[in-house]
Amino acid sequence: MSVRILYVEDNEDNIYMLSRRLKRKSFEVIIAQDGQSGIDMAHAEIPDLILMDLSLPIKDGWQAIRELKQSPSVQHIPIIALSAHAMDQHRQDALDAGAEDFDSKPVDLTRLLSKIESLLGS
Amino acid sequence: MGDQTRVLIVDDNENNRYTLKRRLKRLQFPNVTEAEHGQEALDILEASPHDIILLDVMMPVMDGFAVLENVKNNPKLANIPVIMISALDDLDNVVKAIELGADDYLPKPFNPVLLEARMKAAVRKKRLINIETSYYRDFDKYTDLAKLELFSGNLDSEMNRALDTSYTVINVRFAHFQFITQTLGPAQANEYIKQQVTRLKRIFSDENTVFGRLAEDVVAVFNAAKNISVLADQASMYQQVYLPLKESISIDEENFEGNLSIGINTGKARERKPQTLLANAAFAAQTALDNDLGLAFYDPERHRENIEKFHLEPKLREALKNRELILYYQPIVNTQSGDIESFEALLRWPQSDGSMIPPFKFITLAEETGLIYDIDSFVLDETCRQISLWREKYGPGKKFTIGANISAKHWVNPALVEEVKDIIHKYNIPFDYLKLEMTESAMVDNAEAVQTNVHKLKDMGVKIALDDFGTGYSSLGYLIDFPVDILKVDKIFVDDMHTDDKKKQLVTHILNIAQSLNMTTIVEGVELGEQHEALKALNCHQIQGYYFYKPLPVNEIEQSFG
Repeated sequence: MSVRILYVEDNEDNIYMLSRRLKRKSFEVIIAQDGQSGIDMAHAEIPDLILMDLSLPIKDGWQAIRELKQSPSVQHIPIIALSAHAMDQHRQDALDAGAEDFDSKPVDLTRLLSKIESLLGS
Repeated sequence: MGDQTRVLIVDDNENNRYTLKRRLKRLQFPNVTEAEHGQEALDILEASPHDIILLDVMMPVMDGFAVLENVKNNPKLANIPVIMISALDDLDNVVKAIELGADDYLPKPFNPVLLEARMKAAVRKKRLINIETSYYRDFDKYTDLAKLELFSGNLDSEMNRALDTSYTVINVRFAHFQFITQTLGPAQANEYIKQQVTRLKRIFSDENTVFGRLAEDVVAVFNAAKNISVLADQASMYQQVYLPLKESISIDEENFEGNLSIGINTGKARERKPQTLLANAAFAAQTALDNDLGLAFYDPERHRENIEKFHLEPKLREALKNRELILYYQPIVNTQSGDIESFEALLRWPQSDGSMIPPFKFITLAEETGLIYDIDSFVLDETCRQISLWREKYGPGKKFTIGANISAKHWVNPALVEEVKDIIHKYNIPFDYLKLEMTESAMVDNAEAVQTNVHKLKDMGVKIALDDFGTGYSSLGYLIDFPVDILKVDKIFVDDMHTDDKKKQLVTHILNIAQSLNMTTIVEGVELGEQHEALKALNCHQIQGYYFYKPLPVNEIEQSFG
């Protein structure tokens, strides 16, 4: 069975491109376009991994990560936070919120894949 | 060897500084500044950047490593070669310094031969850096093309040499650039442009061609018009320039195809400034965006309109805010009796000189800028206000409707129904006095949303009219999908229906179809008695046109409607 990734992102261009590239690497990709739908979909679909953009409408990525990590049914799912701002503060806040890893946008696919692999391998 | 070279010595030991300074002077470096500790060094560099820094590792206040980090992280200073001064046996610190970006090291005690060699190397390095820096100030480092300033300088000098030669600028805008930057990264986006430049160089192979990267997503081509063989006409530009550039480019296994626009402007320096040529080509590229060919030759008429619109927009905004727009009403009469039964509200924009700007001059602008929503709301509000005034004046016995034009954009908006309801309540008028007119174009985009609005408004009792029938798609299917109450047949059928039998047949059938669908029919644009006579014999309920009334201001309407 293929690995299922929930990608929470509001920018259509990024959704199009990254989900295409992940699908080509044989991942199954499901999409949520705001923080709250991301949380809801994580509960409904129990994906193997979550890619969470940080600046999201309705509920931002940090808040979504915090809530996911407090919920017993989904807190085991590894989260990689994504941000267009490579500022240390963004990274640190995401990790503090409970994300397992962080990567900056635009995504370097090889780097992201190795992060996904190491999180799923463990 | 370096009398212009400014050297900064940073060392807390005064003897060291003195020795170094003397030796540097002997090596023809008279221009030396001294700093006693790290902070002082940074202050000096802040005030005036130097060409070479000699930096001691161990110092009080701020040591050499801290200075080094500051220098290498400061874009203004990062290019200055730094030579670390350290004791001979202190290899660990030397390694650490080199890892932090130091360029070289000089062991203590100072050896004059070694010092000279180090200084020579640093001077050479600095010179190379300077050459590189100035090169990349003028040239794009990904494509090696001239940047805007240099490119337009080339244009200037070339065109001013031959005032009567025709020159051409071709402006190519690659819309993929932003998308690739965002999704794959800036390096990939630049790679895409680089590949497109290779294509451009193949297409424009004349040796006199000048290329420039005017912006991240814009590459321009410049040459004497006679040297550009593909320039002959739009068709050959399309075949030989647009099509090859449109071909897909593969970056990181992703294919990027098309998504570019090309603008072309040709002119002589005697008639057009080089800068204008450049700006015109850019404008043409912008107009090419809504062009099937993806390319456009500069069109001065269009440019003028654009500038006019640019000036009109703030004026329109202001006029709307101050409710300076007004409505004229064109009476619509019963075909048989000639009695006024309804009106169409028509927007007018009075000017201070007494003239009127007709809607076709500003409605497109309003649609492009989103002002159309406010205009529609104004028209709706004003129409309902007029309905309420006339009902008061003539009493509820006098039945009439007024049609307000609602733009295609607004018909899609789910908020339309609530808005209409609120305005009708505000003026406390019956729903069936209001008629909303839509054109066929409103049915094309997002038909479902429009249908929902039509149904809800109909259920409330508002009348819906389909305007200009016959000028657009005129699909009979729309008449089923959009159960409008009123069909307004466009003027083009009426113009010569009294002389052209085919037109008359067409009008007859359209009216019969509408009739069988239980629609009220209005024929627009009736200007002659013969047309009226012909329509009397057909199933046409109402007539709108100059033969009876032109659009009139409220006071003139009241004279005929009393």
